[in-house]
Amino acid sequence: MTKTVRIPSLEDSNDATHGRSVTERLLRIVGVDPALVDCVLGDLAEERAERSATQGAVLAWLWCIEQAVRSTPHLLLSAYRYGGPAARLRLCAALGVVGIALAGIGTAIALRDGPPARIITALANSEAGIVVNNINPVQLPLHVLDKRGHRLKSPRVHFERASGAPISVSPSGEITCRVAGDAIVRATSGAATQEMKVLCRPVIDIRESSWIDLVAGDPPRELPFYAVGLNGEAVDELRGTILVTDSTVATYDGNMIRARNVGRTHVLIKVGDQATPMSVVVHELVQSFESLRPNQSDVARRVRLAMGDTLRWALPPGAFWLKYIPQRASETPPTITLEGNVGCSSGDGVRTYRMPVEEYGKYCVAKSGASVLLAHGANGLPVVEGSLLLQRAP
Amino acid sequence: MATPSRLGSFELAALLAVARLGHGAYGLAIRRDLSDRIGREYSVGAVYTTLQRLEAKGLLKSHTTDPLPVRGGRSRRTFTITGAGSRALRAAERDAAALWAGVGTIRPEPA
Repeated sequence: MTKTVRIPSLEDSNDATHGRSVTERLLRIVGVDPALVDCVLGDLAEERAERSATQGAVLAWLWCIEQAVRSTPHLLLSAYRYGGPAARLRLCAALGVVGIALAGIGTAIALRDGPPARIITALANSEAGIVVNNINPVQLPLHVLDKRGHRLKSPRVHFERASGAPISVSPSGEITCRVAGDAIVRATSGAATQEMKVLCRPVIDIRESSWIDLVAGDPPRELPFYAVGLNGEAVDELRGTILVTDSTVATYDGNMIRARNVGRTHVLIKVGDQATPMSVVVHELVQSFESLRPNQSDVARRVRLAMGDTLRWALPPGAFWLKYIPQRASETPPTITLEGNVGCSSGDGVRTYRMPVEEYGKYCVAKSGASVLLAHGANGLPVVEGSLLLQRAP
Repeated sequence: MATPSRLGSFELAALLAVARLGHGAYGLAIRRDLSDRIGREYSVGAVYTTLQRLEAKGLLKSHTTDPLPVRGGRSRRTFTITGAGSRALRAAERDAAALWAGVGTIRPEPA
């Protein structure tokens, strides 16, 4: 009986079409002399066969791999030294590709996520606790980091209430605040555990002024709104967003709204599940309410009245809101009297203040010859300062 | 007569191995001979690129055998020394002799 012995070679991964191993084809592609490739691979095959017989297949393969690794620089150097310009170019391109691939692999390794090492809240200014104003279930915002500080994309986090107010915490981290109170919630991801204070402050309504009037150039003012809690009282601890639709007209910063340019815009206040819009009007400072151009719809005049002073200003014909805002919040307005052919009411039947912010606001319809008289009044202040606003109806 | 090529130390060792092995000088045998004599394992690539360089210098010439089953169907490339190779070896021997001349027993300097 004849026993066929298969001679192992690096052509174990032969390409059936060309009869060359992947290794051989790669070496030829990068420009190594084919005769040299043939010699090297032949020697490796011959010695691997011998070593397989004496040391075993595994050790023979390991030797073979070590030889391949050690031989590669010599073969590449030879290709560069004896190859033509095209072969050198090919070699440089191949080395470039390998370099880029290695850099990519290195980068991927460096950036790969490790196991969870730290859990942090995904909210700024949450050192004192995470304020939750929602009535409906809301996901507790957390980030899980590995030990290098990389944020894990889809970490498995288990949540549970550890102590405090009886709030509902689902294993996936949904919090339901049905009562107001503080609770400690424990989050666990792998070996990382973090306890955090959750401040349940459910908000059922936002009460606000329908609009806020500002005068161009005035200092910023507080946004006139407050949130109502479960017991009907104002809630002080709020977390939400305040968005100004047109930041060229007004901007919001640190609970204050600042006039930028004459115009109108909106502020959207969102706290917990509640959201409400508020109109913002920035008035143009004028010297007179007479002879206004058609596009001058929102104007204002400065008011400064010392004890015993009065001011009488002509009003334009038409429908308008006439309002007074004090220079300093909560200061008493002057005595305001409308004279001539003018009729005023406290509203236009459509717009109403839910929470008055102006000390004075009337909707008026005037004919030619109407005027407004402002007097210091008897409020005890040495000087009354503010702005009289005139907002013409369209 | 052309000036004999200057040889590097590994080139000299490879050339001497070819001279020793005679007709049986091919990569695997040369590498084993060098490893046995120098006590160091050389890579197949290092040996063949050196042989290729020596051939390019005209110090060796090679001959390719028929494909052999023991080599997975590949040929063997055997090397023989050319006249220039012989002269280069002699020159290297002379250089070495000249360098060693006058050197007696080498004793280290007392520390």
